[in-house]
Amino acid sequence: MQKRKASSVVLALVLCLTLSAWQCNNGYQKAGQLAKDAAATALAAQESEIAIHNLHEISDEDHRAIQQKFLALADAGQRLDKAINVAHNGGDATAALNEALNATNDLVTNGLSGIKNPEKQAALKLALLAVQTTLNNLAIFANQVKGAK
Amino acid sequence: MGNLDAALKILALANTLEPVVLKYILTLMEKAQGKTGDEFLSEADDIWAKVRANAQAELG
Repeated sequence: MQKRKASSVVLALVLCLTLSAWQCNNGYQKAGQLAKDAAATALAAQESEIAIHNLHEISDEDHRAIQQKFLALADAGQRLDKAINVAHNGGDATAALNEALNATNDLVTNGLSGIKNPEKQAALKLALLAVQTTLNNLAIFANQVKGAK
Repeated sequence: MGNLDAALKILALANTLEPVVLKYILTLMEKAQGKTGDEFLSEADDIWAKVRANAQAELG
C-alpha cells in the first residue's frame, strides 16, 4: 500500500515536472511561431516595395535607402531568432527584440515618404505595422512567460 | 523503510532519466500541435535570409 503511495508521489512529481516544462516549451513554440510570422510579413512588405519600385513609383535613391533598412531589419531578425533560442535556455531576448522593433520603427517612420502613390504607401505601411504588431506581441508574450516562471 | 528506499530509488531513477524522457515527451507534445519551436525559428531564419538576399540584390 505504502509502495503504491510512493509510486503515486513519484508519478505526480514527474507529471508536474513534465507539465511545467511543457508550459515553458509551449512558450518557446509560440515565440518561434511569432518570430516566423514577423519574418514572413517583413518579406511580404519588402516584396511589395520592390514591386512599387519596378512600377517607377519610387525613386532609385529612396528604394536603395528602404532596402538598406530592410537589410538592417533582416540582420536584427536573425539575431532575434538566435536570442529566442538562447532565452529558451535561460538567456534574455529583450535587447534583440528591441533592436528588431527599432529597425521596423525606422522603416515605418523614415522609409515610406519617398513612395509617390498614397495608396501604395498606405499598403506598405500597413504591412510594416503588422511586423511591428507581431514583434510587440512577442514582447508581451515573453513578459507573460517570464512572469509565470 | 524498505518502501522508502524503493521510493527514493524510483525518484533517483526519474531524476536521472528526466531530461531525456522530458525532451522526448515534449517533442511528442509539440509534434502533436504542429511544428516545434526550433522548426519555427529555423523557418524564420530562412525567411530573414531571403529578406537579406533580396536587399543585397536590390542594393547591387
